[in-house]
Amino acid sequence: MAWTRNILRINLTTLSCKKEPLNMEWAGQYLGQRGLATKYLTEEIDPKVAPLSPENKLIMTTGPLTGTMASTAGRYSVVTKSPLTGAIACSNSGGFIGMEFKNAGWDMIIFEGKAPYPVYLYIENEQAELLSADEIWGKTAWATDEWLHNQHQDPLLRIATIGRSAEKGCLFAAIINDLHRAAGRSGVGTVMASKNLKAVAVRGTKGVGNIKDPAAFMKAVNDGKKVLAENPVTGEGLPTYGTQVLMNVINEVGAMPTRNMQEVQFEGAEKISGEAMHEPRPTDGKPNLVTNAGCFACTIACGRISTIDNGHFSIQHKPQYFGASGGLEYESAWAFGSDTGVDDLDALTYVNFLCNEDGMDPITLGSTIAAAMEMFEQGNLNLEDTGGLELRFGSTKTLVEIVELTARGEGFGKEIGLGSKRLCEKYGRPELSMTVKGQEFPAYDPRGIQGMGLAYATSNRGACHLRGYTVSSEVMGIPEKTDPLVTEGKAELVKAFQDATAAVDSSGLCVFSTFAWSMADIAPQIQAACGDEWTMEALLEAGERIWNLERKFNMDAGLRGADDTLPKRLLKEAAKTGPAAGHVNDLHKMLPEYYQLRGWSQDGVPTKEILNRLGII
Amino acid sequence: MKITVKLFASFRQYLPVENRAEGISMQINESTTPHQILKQLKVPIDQAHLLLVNGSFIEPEKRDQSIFKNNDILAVWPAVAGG
Repeated sequence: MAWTRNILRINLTTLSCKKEPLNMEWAGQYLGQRGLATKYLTEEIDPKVAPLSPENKLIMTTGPLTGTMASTAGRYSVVTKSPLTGAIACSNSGGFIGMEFKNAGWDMIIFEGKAPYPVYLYIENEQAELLSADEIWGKTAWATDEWLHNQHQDPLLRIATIGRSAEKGCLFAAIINDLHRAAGRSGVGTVMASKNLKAVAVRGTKGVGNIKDPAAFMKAVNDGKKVLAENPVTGEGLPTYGTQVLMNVINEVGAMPTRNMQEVQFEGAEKISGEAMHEPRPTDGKPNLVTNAGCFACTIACGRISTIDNGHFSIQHKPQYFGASGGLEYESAWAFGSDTGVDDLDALTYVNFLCNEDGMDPITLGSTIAAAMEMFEQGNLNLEDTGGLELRFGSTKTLVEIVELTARGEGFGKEIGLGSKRLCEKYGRPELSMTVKGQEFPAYDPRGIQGMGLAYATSNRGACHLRGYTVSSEVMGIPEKTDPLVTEGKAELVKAFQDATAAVDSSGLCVFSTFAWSMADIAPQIQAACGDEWTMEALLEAGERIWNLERKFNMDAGLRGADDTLPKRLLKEAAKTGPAAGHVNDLHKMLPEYYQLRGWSQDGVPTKEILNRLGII
Repeated sequence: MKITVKLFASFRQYLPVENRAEGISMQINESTTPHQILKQLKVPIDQAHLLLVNGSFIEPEKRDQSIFKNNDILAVWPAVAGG
């Protein structure tokens, strides 16, 4: 129940659209979204496939709760093999398009092959057709969105699209939906571009039903909403300040990645914080933040809608940026801010707009620019290499210019589009890439938050905070406070967060709900919608199953336990200031215990016993 | 002794507008506790979830103890989280 039980399979090579039944046996093991799409991907592609070849597949997928009345149930994911990492990619996005897929009657869309010419997929309930994208290929995500709405004369059409960066080969291109939500990480947009697929436009009017026990579902959902409303984080903190409330927190605890992670505290943090977004600007007297915004069905509404001072140099004579649009989240604020040494809130908001407009992952983009700045300052890059750009830390104008170039895939922006791993290797300084498995770090220096070092090192999609967010416990005390500077107990903590998150990511719910919800709040909603068998224990086991399946895919793709590591800087160079001064990340103290808890070999390979127990083989 | 007090998120309202970004400097004596400072500033103690001194978390049971040294920085938030 709750699933539509329908898959839409799109063969781009033959330009055909086919309806298939969802494999309900697999749904019983993997629930939906992240887990179920990973099962399909691992069954259907060779793990060694080249990510940008027609043999790779791209799956857009919802969870069983997506589109229902459950709070935060607006999520969808994109699952494929990543061109940035060579590992499994699963990028999760909110907005409204996940709900629309379900309303049109589809749990999942599987794209295979490569179209002979640029196309977009148009879906209206059961009807699906591939149409020429000649007129939108080369356009930004925002222009594409506008064109499709005009073309189909339907203001309620929901659109997911790539921008120009993906078409130009940027390896961390995102898929933008609803103008400013993104399946952001690991280059899922680049895979979409490689298939000559510009966009998906969908309109569904069928409603989302198939709820197993509607009365029980309504009760469980209402109970859940009450918990979110009464919790100070989800009821007040996130709606008021968004994720950006963390800027000052993480800076104070000394885990703010600064100037390519050379430092752990940024002197300009206050100026680019969630609090600062509320303050009137000295220039025009208006605050950066216009309002908060919610995705479909969300009763938290942490999204930011912001404006830039119309007189700011970045948007002078560019009236298209004068209005309000998707504002800074913490991850884009630190990556473009502290990591590049820039403390200009207007400039950061502008480059964040550009990430939405042209579909780029702000974490990887900001971190790659920071790595380039360090190489420039150390003489590994010169003005000839950069096309005349003075790539120095703290240079606001250079930041704006290089993001514009990357969005268009021009000049040195083309090289930034490689991501920091390839860029730093090319210029002889591989150790300056702050990545795991080729993906850049998010906003938490693991010298100051030890568990995050293990979470990054073992994340199946490369460095990521959303695969095991132990910050919640280590810094914020949710659900219980642990000491961020100790390693004891962190292996268990990381595994618990990883498994629980994999389950939530497979349901259609947002992981931010877990700041208030425990599995005891989530399970009754899934049980009422999908069946009594989805107990807390079953959900956590499904999470463990998903984690191991992703891991197995990566191993089969050629990754090894040796890839579960961190850059030398974080293992050898101690933090210089704050509570973590003198600390490196002690990954070696946590990793063996983690492998043991997972039931993996000493080399980090899932054993036959564990794969058997979980029903993977 | 002198300490700096910084309040964040919705607790900003308990500081004068001109001091919200930088925090305020307070003269205290050696016996002053974190909770006494919060009471003085009218910050609701039961909502003070994250309380750091020089960036290190202070357990709730230690917030009625004299823990300050000269030039310490006290930073306080209500319950917050992000991603």
